[in-house]
Amino acid sequence: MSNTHRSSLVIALGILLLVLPFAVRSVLTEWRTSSYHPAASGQVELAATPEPTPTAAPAPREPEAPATYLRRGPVVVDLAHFNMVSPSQFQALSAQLAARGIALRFWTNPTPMASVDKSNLAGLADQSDQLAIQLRDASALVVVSPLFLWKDAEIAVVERFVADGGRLLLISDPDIPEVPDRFLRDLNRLAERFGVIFNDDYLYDLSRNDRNFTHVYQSQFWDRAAKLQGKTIVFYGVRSLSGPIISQVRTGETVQSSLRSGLSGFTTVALAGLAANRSTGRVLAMGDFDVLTEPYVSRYDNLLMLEFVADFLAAAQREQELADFPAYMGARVGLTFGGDLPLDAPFLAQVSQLQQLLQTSGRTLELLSPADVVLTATMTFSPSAVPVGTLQPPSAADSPPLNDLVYVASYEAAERETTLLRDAGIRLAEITPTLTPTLTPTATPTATPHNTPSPAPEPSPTCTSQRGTFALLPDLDATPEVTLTPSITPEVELTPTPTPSPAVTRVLETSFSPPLLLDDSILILRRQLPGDKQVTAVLGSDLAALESALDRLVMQNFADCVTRPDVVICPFKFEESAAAPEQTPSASPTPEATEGPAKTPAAVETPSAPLGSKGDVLVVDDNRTAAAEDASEADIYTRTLQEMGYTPALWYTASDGDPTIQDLLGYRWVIWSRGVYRGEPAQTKTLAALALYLERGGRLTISGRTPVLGGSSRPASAIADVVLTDEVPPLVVGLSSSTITLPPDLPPAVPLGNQWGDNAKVAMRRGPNSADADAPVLVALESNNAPGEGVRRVIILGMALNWLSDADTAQLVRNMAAWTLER
Amino acid sequence: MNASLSEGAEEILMRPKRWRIGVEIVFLVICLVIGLVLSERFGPRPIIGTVRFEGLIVPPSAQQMWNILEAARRDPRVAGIVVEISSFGGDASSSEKLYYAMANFRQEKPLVVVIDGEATSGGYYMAIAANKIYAPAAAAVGNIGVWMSRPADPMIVPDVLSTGPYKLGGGSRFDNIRQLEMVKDAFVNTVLHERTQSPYNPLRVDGRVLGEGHIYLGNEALALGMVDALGGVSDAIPDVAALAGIARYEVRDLTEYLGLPFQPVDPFQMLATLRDTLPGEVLLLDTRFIALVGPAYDATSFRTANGAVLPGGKRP
Repeated sequence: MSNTHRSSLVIALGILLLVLPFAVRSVLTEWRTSSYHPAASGQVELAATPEPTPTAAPAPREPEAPATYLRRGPVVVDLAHFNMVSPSQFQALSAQLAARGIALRFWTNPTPMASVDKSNLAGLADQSDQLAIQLRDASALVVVSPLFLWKDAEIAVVERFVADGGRLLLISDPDIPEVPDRFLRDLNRLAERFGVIFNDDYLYDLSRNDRNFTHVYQSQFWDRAAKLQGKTIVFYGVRSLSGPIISQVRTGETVQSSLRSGLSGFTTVALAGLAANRSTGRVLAMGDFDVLTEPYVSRYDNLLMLEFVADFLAAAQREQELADFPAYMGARVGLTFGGDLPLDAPFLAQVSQLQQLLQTSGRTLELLSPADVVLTATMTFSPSAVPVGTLQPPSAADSPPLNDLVYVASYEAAERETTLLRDAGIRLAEITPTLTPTLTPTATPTATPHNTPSPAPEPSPTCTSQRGTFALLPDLDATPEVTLTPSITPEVELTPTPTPSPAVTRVLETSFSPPLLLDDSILILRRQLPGDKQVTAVLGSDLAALESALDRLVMQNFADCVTRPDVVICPFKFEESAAAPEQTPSASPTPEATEGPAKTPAAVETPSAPLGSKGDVLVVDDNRTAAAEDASEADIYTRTLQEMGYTPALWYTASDGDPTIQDLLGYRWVIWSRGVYRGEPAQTKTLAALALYLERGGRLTISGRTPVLGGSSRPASAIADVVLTDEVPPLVVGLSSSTITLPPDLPPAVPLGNQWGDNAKVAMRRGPNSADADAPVLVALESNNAPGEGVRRVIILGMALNWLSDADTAQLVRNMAAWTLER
Repeated sequence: MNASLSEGAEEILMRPKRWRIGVEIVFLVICLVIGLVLSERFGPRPIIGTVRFEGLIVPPSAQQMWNILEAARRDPRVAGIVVEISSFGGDASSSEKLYYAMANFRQEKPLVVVIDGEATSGGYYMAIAANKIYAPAAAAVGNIGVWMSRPADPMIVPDVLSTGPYKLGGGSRFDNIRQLEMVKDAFVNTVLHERTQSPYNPLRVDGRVLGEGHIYLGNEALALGMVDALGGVSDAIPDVAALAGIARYEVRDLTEYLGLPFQPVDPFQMLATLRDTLPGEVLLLDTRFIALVGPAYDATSFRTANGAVLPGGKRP
């Protein structure tokens, strides 16, 4: 072998030896046999046979319908605090309550959840008013895990409700979201008022449960729930209760609390309530809601738990007050009217609404004849009429007894016909004020003196009107009128000016309040009668007041009333009764076309106020067109009438508008005064109201240079003098002269019409120096209305009253009053 | 004479010198030594792989981990692995998938788990598949149990017609409740099965206690037999080597070695996943995670159980 070959071989071997360890290591690494031999770990036995579909068991028998004539007050469920429960979860409870004759009603919040600021769970608006309305006829309230905090005012309403006998079911379920943990569990704000606290825990049982450690069996049943002992009751997510409570249901030894470590035997259902707020035994607290809902209520004996809760809710006995009308009434309610009330359409409408209110609560209203009602010593009433709305008289066996009566009457009728007021410690009284000084009108001699000045009026006391206090002073500087022309003295028999009637205030005297103004009050009272009967009396001073009282009763509006358990006193304002809108009469009477007062159009509102219920005189100062310098004729009327002892009411059209028929009917005599005002055409509805007022027996006086009615179509013209006639002696008696010259430069006056019909007499005419001489200036109309409607008396004075002298002015007003009211 | 002298000289000259043979031998020896040294230094050795599983156990993260485990199992160079777990769990099926993958790996090669901070619920479910479990003293361990959104009752969907009462919902309310308990039982029984067989620190607590869902500290878990030793990765690697029977090895990050990256699920994607969880879906999840971020899932920051602060910021 040559050296070269040898060298090559050596080098090759060297390279081989260089690489060989690397290759061997690689091979060994790749094909290394591991010495790792793990033990066989085996398989975990996890196979589980699915549960077979259970054999269907018969559903519980449907309960029989309750044999009660009237559904009891509903159970109200609070959803108004955005409680995270749905109405469908109450199906099972609703069915149980229905079997007991009780409905379920949800109180919801009209605000959409999306609109509510959920970051401020204390910021929900107070709903105490709505809650009070909901609880008015309720028998129980259910509150389940509210999301938003209850307000103090709302809690106070619940306290009153429970004190009245209502039942309260409080449930705080750990499964249901409530106020977050950083707040106190909200339900405790309500619950602690009744002595129960819901702990912020949940109960669990790892050794014995219904498929989940939170589905815990209840082991011990106490007190009213003792009948459940031995039954299998399971709660599905429940928290424990604490406080001065009476345990009804408790858990067993194996049940633990997530919070209250080391304890067992937790109370999950309890009766609560405190004597301090009269709620003892009227509150039921539960730590689980699921047990009352499907599908949980159908498992084991959970239905018995539901029945226990339903029995608790159904056992409520509300102490109903008058303000709870008609909740305290039975199924049949009688209605009768006292006295001789004329029932008009608005009143009948109120009665209809009363009937509807009663019908919505399952009651019937029956009209009873007064012969069937004796509300005095024996206090009986019995039905003889067929119930309104029925097709045939119900048999005696089917009908519930008629034990409730609604009696509607005026105060006077009630006091006359019944002993209701007396029994309630109420009586009618009158307060008569003493007038000083007493004014006596001066007699006018038969012969007309030529140079006898007009008697100076007596100094008058200070009196008041709506415009304030003013002093009445005689015009001592006035030059008495002296008439030199031959006088035409009417042969009249002078009669002394009649003594004015002092103003009398009618009041209700009660044993529990200061005297109440009769006309300003309406009274609703309830009285128990022998034989389980009771009467609800609706009393007022007139038809308008009774309408208002019925309206309050129907609307259950006693917010501004003083309420006692059996007496409600509410304010009544006359304007309340003028609820109907003013309607445009179909006819449009105008002064020129009317010979006499305008006829009543067909569409005028039907008045219902008795005539004169508010007073004797209403002076309407039609000052809508009055200029600043114009003197008020209405003040003259007012002053003079006050001197006579009247208490006239004042009305200003500029501020109050035209009075309606309801306004007018409150007074026996209406004086519509325009005096020197330029006036404007009267509104048709005003004329219609005046006409209707007359038809109802009202007495009317129109006065002014542009009278609201009675003026002719001729243009206004100057009156220089007036001449008295002998057609209506009482109206002109005591005036200074048979011909009275008026001051110069008086504004023109609209001449009155000439054609007045047989019932009209002209007491004064324009004198010869006047334009439109001989045109009537003072017209008196008197005619009879329909039987029972009184005598219609109208005076139209076509000039301003104060164009006469003060003496003649006062005398004329006195004559008007005497002719209008005193005959 | 010259010819024979030349032939003799030539013969003598052609005969190798003894010193030359020695040189050749020395050369060869040197090559062999160098070869051994180089092979020692640069030659392939068995690999003990390390991999870290972090975050929520959901299908994407579970699949990534499964890929790594499978690749490592098939790779002849990988002698064993150390799995570092920092997870509060996730959905049940993904958690079980990882348990089975790790258990399967363990049947062929040693696997040691190191709990890094937290292995609760589904994270612990993974861990019990290991030959040995290390945990630091303050780690969070356990939370054995399951949860799901509250089941509802079967309903008729107005615009859908089905052929059976449970086609749409899968079962009645109580079916779902029962199945939830079954998943929990499976979890508990698996823990019992695995940990009672531990040759290092067998379980010393019964299933009822396990089912309560406690979260234990590492040293508590050690006392109960839920983990085998206190320690970390540096302790786990020699154990893997010992189990593998190898003295020389190299430690490699499996994601780099195998070229299979592992991306933890983004925290806010985790929240989206939770928000989109189907009703009735069972979760093996430490709910403290949810409590940390709040029910509205728009927390500005949150802190994990081991105190690490993950970046926050409101995300859509």
